[in-house]
Amino acid sequence: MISIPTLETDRLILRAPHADDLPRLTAFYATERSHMVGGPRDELETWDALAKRLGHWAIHGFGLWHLTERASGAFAGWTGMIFAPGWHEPELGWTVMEEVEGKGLAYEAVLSARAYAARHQGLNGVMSYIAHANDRSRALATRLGAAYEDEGELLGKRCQIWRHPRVEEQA
Amino acid sequence: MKISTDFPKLETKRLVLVSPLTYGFDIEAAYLDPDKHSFLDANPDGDSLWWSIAMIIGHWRLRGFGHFAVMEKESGAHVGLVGPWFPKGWPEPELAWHLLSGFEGQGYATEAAQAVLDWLFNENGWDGAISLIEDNNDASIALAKRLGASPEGEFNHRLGGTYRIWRHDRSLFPAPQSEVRS
Repeated sequence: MISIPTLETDRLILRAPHADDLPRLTAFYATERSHMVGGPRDELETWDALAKRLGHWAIHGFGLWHLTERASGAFAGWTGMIFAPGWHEPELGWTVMEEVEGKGLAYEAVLSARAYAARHQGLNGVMSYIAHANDRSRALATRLGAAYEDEGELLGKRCQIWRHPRVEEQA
Repeated sequence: MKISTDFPKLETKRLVLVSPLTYGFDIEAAYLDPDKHSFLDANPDGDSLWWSIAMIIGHWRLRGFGHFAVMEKESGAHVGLVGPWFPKGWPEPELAWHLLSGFEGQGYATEAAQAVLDWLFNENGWDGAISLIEDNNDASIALAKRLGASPEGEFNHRLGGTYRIWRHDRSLFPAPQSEVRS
C-alpha cells in the first residue's frame, strides 16, 4: 500500500502526486524548461510518468511530493527523493513551475523534504544531480548549504554532484 | 466505468490474485528479482523493468484497477501478471496477461483471466474489455478465443506497432464451458 505523507510549510503543501495535476504537468513537460528533468514528454508519457512517481513511493517508501501553494491552491512543482536504476544513490530533486519562481518557494519545499527524508526515510547527507547549465538550481543548492562534490553522470548525461549537509536529529 | 476502492483478492481453484497495492505484498521480492525479467517482454533490460513495475503499481492508484499479481495457491510461487491495463492513449481498458517462463501450458492464464473478467463484469459492472494481440501471437489468440473474445479492428500503438483488438463482451461471459481447457 502506498502511504504518502503530507507536509506543510509556511506557504506550501507537499502532498502525493494526483491525477488532477496532469494538465499542469503535461503543459510543463511540453516546454523547453522540462529538458533538464526528463522532458520533453507528451500527454501519454506524462500520464505514465505520474503513475511511475506513485509506484516509486510504493517500492521505496519515498519519492516525489507535488507542491501546491497554500494561498491559491496552484500547482507549484515537485521535490523529494528519487532512486531508480541509473542513480548512484538516492537524489534530492526539485522542479518549480515558472510562474511561481523567484519567491523562495523551492527553498522552502526542498528544506522540508530534506528534513523529512533525514528524519523519517533514513536518508541523510543526501546528494543532488545538477546539470551544468542549471545556474538557478546551483544557486538554490548553495542557499540550502549544499556544496559541489564531483562531476557525475546520470542516464548518460554529464552533470555535477552536490552534497547536502546532514540534518541534525530532532531533540 | 465503476470500480471498487478496496483492493481486491480473487481466488480460483489453483490461483490467488492480488493487487500489488495490497497491504503486505512484497513488491521487490515479487518483481524486482533479476531472474524474473523475462515476463514483461516489452522491457528486456533491468532498468526499464524497474519503471515498468513502478507504473503497474501507480496505474492501480490512478485507475483503481490494474495488473494482478498471480500466485499459485499451493506453493505461493509467482506465476505472472494478469489484469486490465488502461494508461492514457489506450482505446479502452485492455485485459492483458504476462506469464513467467515455466508456468505456461497449464491453463493458468485462462484461469486467472476468467477470474478477472468475472470481477470486472459481475462485481464492477463493466460491459466489456478488449485484449490487444499481434496477429502472429498464436498462443494469445488461442487464449482470447478460450475466453470467448472476438476479433475486430486494429489498434496502432504509436510505439508498439499494430495490434488486433479482441473484444470480451459481458453478454457472452462466462465463455462456453466446452471451450475452456485448463
